[in-house]
Amino acid sequence: MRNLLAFVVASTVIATKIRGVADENLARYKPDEDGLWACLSAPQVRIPLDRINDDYCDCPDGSDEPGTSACSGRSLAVFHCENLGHIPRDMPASRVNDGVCDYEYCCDGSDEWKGLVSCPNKCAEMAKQYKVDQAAERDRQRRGGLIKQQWLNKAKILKTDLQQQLAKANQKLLTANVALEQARIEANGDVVDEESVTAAVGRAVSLLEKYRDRVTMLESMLNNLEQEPSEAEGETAADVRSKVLSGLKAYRRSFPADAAEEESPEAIGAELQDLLLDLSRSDYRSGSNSLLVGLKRKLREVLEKNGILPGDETTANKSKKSAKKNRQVESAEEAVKKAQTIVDDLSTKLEDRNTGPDDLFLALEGICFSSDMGEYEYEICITGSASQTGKSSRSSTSLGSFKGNNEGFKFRYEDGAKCWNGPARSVEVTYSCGPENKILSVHEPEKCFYAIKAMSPLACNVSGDKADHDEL
Amino acid sequence: MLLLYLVLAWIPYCLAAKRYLFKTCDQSGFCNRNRYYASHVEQSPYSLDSASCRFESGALYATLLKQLPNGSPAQFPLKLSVLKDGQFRIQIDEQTRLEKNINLAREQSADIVRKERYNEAADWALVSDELPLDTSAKFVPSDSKLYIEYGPDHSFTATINFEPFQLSFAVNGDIQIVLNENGFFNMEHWRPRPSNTSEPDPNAGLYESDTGKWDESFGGFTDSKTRGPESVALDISFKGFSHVYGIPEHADSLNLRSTGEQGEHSDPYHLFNVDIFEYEVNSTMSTYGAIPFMQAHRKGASVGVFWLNGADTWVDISRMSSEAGSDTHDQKVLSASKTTTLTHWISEAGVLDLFVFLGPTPKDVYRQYSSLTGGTLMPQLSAIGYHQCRWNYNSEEDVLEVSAKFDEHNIPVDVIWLDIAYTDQVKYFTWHPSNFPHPQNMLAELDKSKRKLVTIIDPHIKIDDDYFVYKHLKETGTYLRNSAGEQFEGECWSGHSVWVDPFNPDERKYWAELHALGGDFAGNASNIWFWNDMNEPSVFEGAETTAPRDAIHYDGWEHRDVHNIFGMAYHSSTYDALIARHKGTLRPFILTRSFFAGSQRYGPMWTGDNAATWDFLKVSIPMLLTNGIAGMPFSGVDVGGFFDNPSPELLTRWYQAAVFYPFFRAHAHIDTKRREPYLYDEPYLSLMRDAVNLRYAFSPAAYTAFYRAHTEGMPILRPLFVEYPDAENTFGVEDHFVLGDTGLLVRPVTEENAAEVQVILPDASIYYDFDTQEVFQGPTKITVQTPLEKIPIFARGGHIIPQRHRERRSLELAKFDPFTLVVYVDENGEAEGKHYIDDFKSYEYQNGMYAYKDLLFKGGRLISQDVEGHQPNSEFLDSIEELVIEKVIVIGLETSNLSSEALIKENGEESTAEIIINSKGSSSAASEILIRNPRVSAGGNWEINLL
Repeated sequence: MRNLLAFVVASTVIATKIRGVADENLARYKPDEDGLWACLSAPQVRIPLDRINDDYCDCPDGSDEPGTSACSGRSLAVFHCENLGHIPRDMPASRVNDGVCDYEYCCDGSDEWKGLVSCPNKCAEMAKQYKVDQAAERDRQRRGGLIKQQWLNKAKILKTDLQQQLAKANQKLLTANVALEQARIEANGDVVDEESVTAAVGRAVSLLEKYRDRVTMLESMLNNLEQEPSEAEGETAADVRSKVLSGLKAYRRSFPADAAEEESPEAIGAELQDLLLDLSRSDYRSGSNSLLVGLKRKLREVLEKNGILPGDETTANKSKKSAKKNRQVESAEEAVKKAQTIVDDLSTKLEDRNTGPDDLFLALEGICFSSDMGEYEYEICITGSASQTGKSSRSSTSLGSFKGNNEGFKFRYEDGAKCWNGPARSVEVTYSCGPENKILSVHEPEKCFYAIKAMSPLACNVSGDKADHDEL
Repeated sequence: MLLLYLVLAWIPYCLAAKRYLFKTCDQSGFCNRNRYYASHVEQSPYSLDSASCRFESGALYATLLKQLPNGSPAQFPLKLSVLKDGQFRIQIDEQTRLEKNINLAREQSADIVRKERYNEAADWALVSDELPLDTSAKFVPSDSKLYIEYGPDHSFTATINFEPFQLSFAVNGDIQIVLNENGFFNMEHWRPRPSNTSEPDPNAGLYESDTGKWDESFGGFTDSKTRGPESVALDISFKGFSHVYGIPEHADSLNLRSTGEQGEHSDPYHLFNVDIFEYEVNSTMSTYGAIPFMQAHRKGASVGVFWLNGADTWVDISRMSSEAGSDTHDQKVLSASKTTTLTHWISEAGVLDLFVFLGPTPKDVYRQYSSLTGGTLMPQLSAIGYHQCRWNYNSEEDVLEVSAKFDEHNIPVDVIWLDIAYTDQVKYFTWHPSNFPHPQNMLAELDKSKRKLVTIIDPHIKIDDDYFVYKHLKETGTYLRNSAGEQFEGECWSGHSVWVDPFNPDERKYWAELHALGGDFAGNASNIWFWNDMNEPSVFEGAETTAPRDAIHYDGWEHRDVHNIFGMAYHSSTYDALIARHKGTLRPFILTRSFFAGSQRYGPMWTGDNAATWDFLKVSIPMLLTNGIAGMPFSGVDVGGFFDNPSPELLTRWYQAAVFYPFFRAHAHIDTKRREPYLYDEPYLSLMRDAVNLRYAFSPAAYTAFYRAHTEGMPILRPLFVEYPDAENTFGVEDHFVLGDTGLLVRPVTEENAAEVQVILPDASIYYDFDTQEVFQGPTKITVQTPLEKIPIFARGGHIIPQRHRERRSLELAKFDPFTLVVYVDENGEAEGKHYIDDFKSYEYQNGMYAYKDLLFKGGRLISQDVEGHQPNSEFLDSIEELVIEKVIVIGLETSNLSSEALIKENGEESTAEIIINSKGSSSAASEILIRNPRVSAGGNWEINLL
């Protein structure tokens, strides 16, 4: 009897509606053969149908109370708002009958069916507004999308260009490697000419006599550089290089006038310059000391090669001819190195993380925009750096430089100017789609961390994709 | 050098108070002199002139005489009164000063400084200056003594010894408190300033040193002290007591430590409200608030004293064996316990006004104290919800986004806070023009989910002739003045500033205007709440970081007289303003940092600028317990720690402890990372949400506990000794507590990586693990595994806990929701509890619009009836008709003879509800019986029979 009654009730319920359940889900609330209904995700719990929406929570998942707040906080306690004339939505049951018109979920006001508060149906006006908003959004997407398309086109060209450059560079590298191989074979094939060796040694000895003092001076200068006090810890390789260069200039100025006529010192000087240039290209990340050590070693090599300093036995015994061949090997090595650097540079530029989605970043290089945001003016170079300029002081502060993007068009800029007693400034710019680049808001949620909202075509969809599908 | 600088700059936060900014007892003239006095006194020079005794309207008036080395004795009028609830009051003034028969040392202060000892502290601290007297007290004089029998069944006896002047208090003949037993009583009599203060004072009293009697310099400031030395001090012995509690606020243990040369602390406990930047734990240094109330407890006895003095005060504590103690007393009955705790109270100025409470239980002591200084303000329900604060939410968008994020992550929150940056250049009562252009819209938006917005309003007022508040203070002269009578100027958040004088009635009137409904600042909003900070008052770069002691308040009182009361006077001026704003219809919410005895009437306090360390989490428990004991239970700490960034583990543990804090606010310094709970990954996010939800589930029990704090002065968070007054092993326990009358015993995890903690189950009750319902038989000590999700909570059998299990965005939105009653039965299958309900925000409860229910479970029946003397009026019952009990859960009851349906009787009608027996799986877990949807009225009288 009880089962039969439950069945009758169930039929009625299904025939009509269940509060908080979308029509297409009504089938889930059918009774089983015993006339009971099993909780949706906890079928071991079965209840009579009259306990659905009886304002008491029976199901561990809350699925028995879609129309009340009894199960609020449980995973399936979700109230469905029909919102006729607008978009239907699901709302957490914790908001049913709490005395608040939750129009962002239920434009029809159906969430407050108990009447603790009166919630007139706003679906018509909200749907109208929604259409206006959608139209505006489509317009933004369309206009922004066009610009973005241009950027993408440009990016494609830039990428092709880079790829071609890379192909060429690879070719050059190959050629240079072949040349180097050739030079090495030639150098190794050399026969030592005893006469010329003797002559070279004689010249070297006289040169050594002539330049010993100067070499000592140069060496001590380098030693001094090496032993500079601890401030040097913080110096960059560039700083050290410039010190070495200026030291070298001083050294060359100290040549007596007659020596200037000699070819060798000039040649040595020129070679040193090359050497330093070479060094400046290398990546001495391990610090300035290793730079100095390397520099000294190279310098000694040059001096030895030119016979200014006594080298080890093989070097000292080498003829001038062999020295020349060695120079050829070295210049071939130089060429390989140069070619490799170019290839590396181009490859890095072409890495995905540096070109961005659809290689868009390639087209954004050099694009900057700024906005006046009250006390400060902010400037963002999309793939460059961000800065802030005080209205009164007119001094500009770096907020960081581009470090890549996170999901959802969030661009990170880090390592800006350090805050007093705080961290280095950093920025996260969140872009939304718009036909122009413009800062919408600046917010400093934490000291020296700026959250900037900006619009830009970069966040738009290019025509033919998603935006259109979102329409009703 | 550069390197050194860099290294220093990189140490993140090495917290340490700037001790050099504050005087030690040694450096403080009056403290130094009284410690000297205490170590030199041989025979107290004070005696009661028996010829002067007269009885008048139930009080005894007499004159105390102080023997002086030169000249006639100084006279001190004494008044002893016995109050209605067994409180004993001792008041002593000084005749010469009372008659204004003195010369001020500084000529320029002649017309602007009062000559008397300050005697208005009681006006501020007590609820009424007309305290009802116990007319049945019996005064029995003899030649050398006077006996006063009073209290319940005349079980209390006060014995006044005339020479030397001493007072002892006994309960049923057992002496518990003795005053001046050691002769430290000292009131520095007025004497003219000697022409040469470097020579010995010709008018000095006995045992008196000459340290710091006149102009006193410290830290580059000189205190002019125009009234000369005027301290007041007394020793109070607690006979047979080794445990003393109270005298907040210190970041120290619950059971107060001994001080002095033999003590654990060298300096006395200091009560001098200061903005103590980066305070230290385990210290007697003063912090932001002062309540000169102390309780002593032992098995079978609980007593208290209230030293009503608003000036700078130090309290020395020492413990000694009773036998070795003094023998100046003819103790009729020797105390059983061997330890006596000797306390020495030293205040810089003012009259002596002391209350003695003889209990005999902790509950009696709290009632006796709170009937004098008032119960805790009954908060709106929202106020006991979760508060989200940060220095600073920067704009209206920021505030609304934070609010929305809580919704998005389904974490309830009731209150969002604005620190100083919401203002225009820290000019209070203004909004930052570009960041907060439409504050009323923001308030209205928050009001949709019934959330409140707190704005900070401090007592420093920016000196700016275009600022209307400053202009008003300047025109009316209602600010604090310096010793020359001009406006006192100092630095604070607002830059160069003046300070309001909340002792001035005209200033208080203006303060009410500034808060008035419809005003430019707060408009007509009903959801704008307030925060009174920096009200010690804090003066950056000021003497001891506060106002000079010789600054002058309304009516010519020096700042030294009222220093510790300033914070409360300011707080109360905002309270009065808000009562006026809403014409007494809404209970105000005003958080204060500085407080004094009586501040509980105006709003909650928090413990100021703590830091994100485990030590501060740990010390939060004894600090809040101490506040609860001292009548200021509505208290909290900055959850997460104000300075520095907490680890996710520390933050999670802090949220778990804060479930039970009477006031739960997360707050953070401007230099820290954002740390709103929704910013965290799992498991932290869920665990913090669970913690907040658990607090909201307990809110009906907490609200009931507030009602008891409001009406009876009972602490909300209670130390174990209050709940287990006979369990001596609990008297020193400060990491456990019990929530109100729920019997829920909690031992929050306050240690990093704690795999387990020890929990004391102090008496022979049954205890249920709150999560697993595993049963433990007390008394015992158990080890509890504490993975990060575990909060060790044990429900003591015999209690019924009202709860609300539906989740809402805010507590106020849950006010229409039904309740759940959880019954934890004792070994006899019985339990009881209380449940208080009103409209959760107005003062209508004062007109009978409330229900206060006694819930009893006995013989398989749950009964709801009115607490005696609390019958709700029918209008209220009609208004809460739909407020029902949706669920009753009975834990631990024998299930074999239960009926399948519970029979419900309410209003002469009968109905039934299904009984469901849930199995918890574990064999050691208690049974759980669910009564499904009984729908009885939460405010009604009814019974539910399970048999």
